[in-house]
Amino acid sequence: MSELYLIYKNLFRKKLRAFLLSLAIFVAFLIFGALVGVNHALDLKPRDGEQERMVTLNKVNFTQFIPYSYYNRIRGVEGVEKAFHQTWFGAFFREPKNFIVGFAVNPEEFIPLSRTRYGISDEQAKAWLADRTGMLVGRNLADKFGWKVGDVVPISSNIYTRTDGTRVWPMKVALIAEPTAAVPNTNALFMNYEYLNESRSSLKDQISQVIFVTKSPEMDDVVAKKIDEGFANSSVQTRTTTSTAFTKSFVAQLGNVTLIITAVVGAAFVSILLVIGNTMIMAIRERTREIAVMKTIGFSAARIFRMIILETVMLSFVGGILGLALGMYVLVYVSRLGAIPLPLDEAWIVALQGLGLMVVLGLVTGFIPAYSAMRLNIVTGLGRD
Amino acid sequence: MTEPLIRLRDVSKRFVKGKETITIFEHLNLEIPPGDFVAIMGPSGSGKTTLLNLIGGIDRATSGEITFDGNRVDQLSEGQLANWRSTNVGFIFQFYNLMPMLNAAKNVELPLLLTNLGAAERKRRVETALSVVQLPDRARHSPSELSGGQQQRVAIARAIVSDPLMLLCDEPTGDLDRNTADEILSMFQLLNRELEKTIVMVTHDPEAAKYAKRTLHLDKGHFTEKVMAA
Repeated sequence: MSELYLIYKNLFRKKLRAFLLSLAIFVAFLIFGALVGVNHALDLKPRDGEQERMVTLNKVNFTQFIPYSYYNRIRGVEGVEKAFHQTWFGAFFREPKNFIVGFAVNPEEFIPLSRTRYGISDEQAKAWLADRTGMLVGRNLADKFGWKVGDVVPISSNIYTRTDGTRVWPMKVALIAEPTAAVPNTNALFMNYEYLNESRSSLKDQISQVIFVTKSPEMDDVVAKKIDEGFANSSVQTRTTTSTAFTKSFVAQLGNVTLIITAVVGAAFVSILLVIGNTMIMAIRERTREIAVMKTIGFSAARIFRMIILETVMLSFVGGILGLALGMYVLVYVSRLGAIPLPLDEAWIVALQGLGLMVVLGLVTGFIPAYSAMRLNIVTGLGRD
Repeated sequence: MTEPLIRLRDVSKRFVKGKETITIFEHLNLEIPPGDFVAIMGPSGSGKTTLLNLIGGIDRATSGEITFDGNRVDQLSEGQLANWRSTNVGFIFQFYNLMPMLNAAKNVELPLLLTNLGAAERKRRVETALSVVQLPDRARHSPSELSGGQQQRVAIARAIVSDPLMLLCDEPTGDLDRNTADEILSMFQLLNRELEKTIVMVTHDPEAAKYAKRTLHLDKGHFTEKVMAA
């Protein structure tokens, strides 16, 4: 028998109580895993030496367009190194329920800025550039619909109509992008903007965004300001920001996401804290005599304190790890559905935060009962039934 | 003359209850040599259990000196006292006080968690202790599956497993029928005779006291002694 075994036996001596407490903690960490994971993903910055991208879009709303001519002007702004433009296509495959995250881009400019993110080889780049109807398809998307390189598939748009009155653009799968560290969820497609622009019946020469990087990150703010000032007196004004801030503002349409997440997770944890703290105080009170016996045998006050703290930490881990695991699974699953454009390749940071929170929860809920047990007078304890 | 294992010199114990100070005993003197088996009797409220608690280092005297094997224990810190108890004292209570969630063997093993012994050596000692109390076949039983007498034997095994010099027993047969009580008391005699454990037993029962080598009557803060026939 080890001390850990003794702690374990104490924790599960009343199985229903332990189960209900674990369930409460499970729910709290399920919420934590899912919501804090989303919040963390929104704050992710580029890694692996990759410079953060900047985004210029219509100041009114990201659903509004900006003229194509802006792209050329932005490329000419001092400090802009590389740029491409992208236009939301409103894509679906055969039926609207088969929604696809799809953008029309200019591949010759898109590739240099996205080669690492999507793992594009020279051969793949060549194949895409060679065919105007070609498209880059993410691995998850290709697997979902069973597409292979060379397949010609009908992609429909819920925004545009072709000049011939149809809404279907046949496109050839030119390359399939495998998951990378930067883009682990490959569920998007990128088609050729020229193919879209020449065949759509309206909104010609309109684009959604210009994506660019500056010559150095220190120039980001200055360049952004210069671009927006340049269009300040135009009929279509722009807003330039970092891609991280843009993603966050995209999700912020739902409201102040960070505040909502903090409030929900905070409320869950305060409730759990009170429930566990109160239950543990009662549980330790029930064991007063046993604690006095252990002290009589020779267990020191410090050791008793440590054992009770470990007991609450163990309780926290039993429910917490299962809840956190399920929360993370939900997060990854939702992300893979493509419902929200979030990079989710740093789940381990959320997991570490969760584990840290489990320790804190155990320490906080265990402190009062552990302190009471530590201070327990043996004679008093032995006399209490 | 043999150096006493336990010596109390001018020991007083007073409680403050509200505005009132209650004196349990004052200037009490006692010497218990190694290998002795002492029964302490006396009317309720005479301070028998308090005396046992002082000897066992789980309570502190208001004044006076308490020495064990020549060393002052009344001056030890709480942590030092805990360590001293784990090495030198085995406690046996009236209501057994076993851990309900542990089986008999694990209950016996409990004091060994405070030692540096390996798992194999702990297991061997637990088996030996359970054999001494004649309960080797009940090792896997939980306390609720054992009779009162069997639970008290497990408690005795727990008290002796770390091989302490002294056993302190507080009404150890108070919750047992006569036959079972006799078995337990015979076991104390065995532990005293064969393993040379020094035993101090508080009891109300004159029959139980007969198993001891001598009986001390504590009344109004003073001892009167009666030596039993060997």
